[in-house]
Amino acid sequence: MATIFGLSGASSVRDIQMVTKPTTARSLAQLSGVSGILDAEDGSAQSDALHVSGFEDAMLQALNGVNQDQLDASQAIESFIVDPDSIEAHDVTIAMAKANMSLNIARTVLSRVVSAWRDLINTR
Amino acid sequence: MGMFTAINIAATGMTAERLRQDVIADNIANVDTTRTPEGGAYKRSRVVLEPITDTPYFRLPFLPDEWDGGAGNGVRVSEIQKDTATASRYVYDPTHPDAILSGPYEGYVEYPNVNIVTEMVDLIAASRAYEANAQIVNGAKSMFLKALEIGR
Repeated sequence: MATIFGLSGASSVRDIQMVTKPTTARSLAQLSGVSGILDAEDGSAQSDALHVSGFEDAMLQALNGVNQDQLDASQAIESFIVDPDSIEAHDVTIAMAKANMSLNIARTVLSRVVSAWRDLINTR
Repeated sequence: MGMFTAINIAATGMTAERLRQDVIADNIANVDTTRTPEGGAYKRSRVVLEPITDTPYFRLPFLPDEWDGGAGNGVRVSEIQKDTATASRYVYDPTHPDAILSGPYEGYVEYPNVNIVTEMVDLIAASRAYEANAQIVNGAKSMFLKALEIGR
């Protein structure tokens, strides 16, 4: 995440290495900055992995899209640092804007879901 | 109509304007070039743009015109064309190694048909168009953020 918003040069390559690996729900949630929301579902997701649930799949797919935007932005920044001639400046900033926007919408949707859940459990 | 359609289209416009800027830079850099591999002086080049269409272009014959297409896919560079219509500049300089040796232009040197003023105006136009596309990106982003604020 620091690579996307902070443009830190030295640590960026290591961060990108870390980001490219995860595929599970837990690591996706962590790197998208929404950890703690999917963690509760993590155990059930692994216990019955074959069980297909619509909302969860849709959420994971959306998070994969968010992750892909982050990866694109990281890759654009990396190639801009390593080889500035290989990519245009506006492509880098547009990739960053896309990553920012998709992360924003993911965060908004998740926070709405969580607040709806809180509303439900506070029903008395 | 995806989330990033406007941004992607604006990105194609920005790429095209950057290429225009590169071509203008090449023209200005070669403003005094008197010899080229093709022979003769440098000819100014210009960028020809075209809209991006799905290739091959497919259209249902039954579809009304109003339903066809929707928003386009942006712009791309069709070709970088040499301007052979504009006349070259001829400057009298018999000692120049590329001076014309015989004929009505004897003693004259053929200089490129690049006009610095034209190129500068084109450069301003290209950079303003680039700014306009950047503004599209910012506008799309702020519209998106406004949509996220609904019901907060």
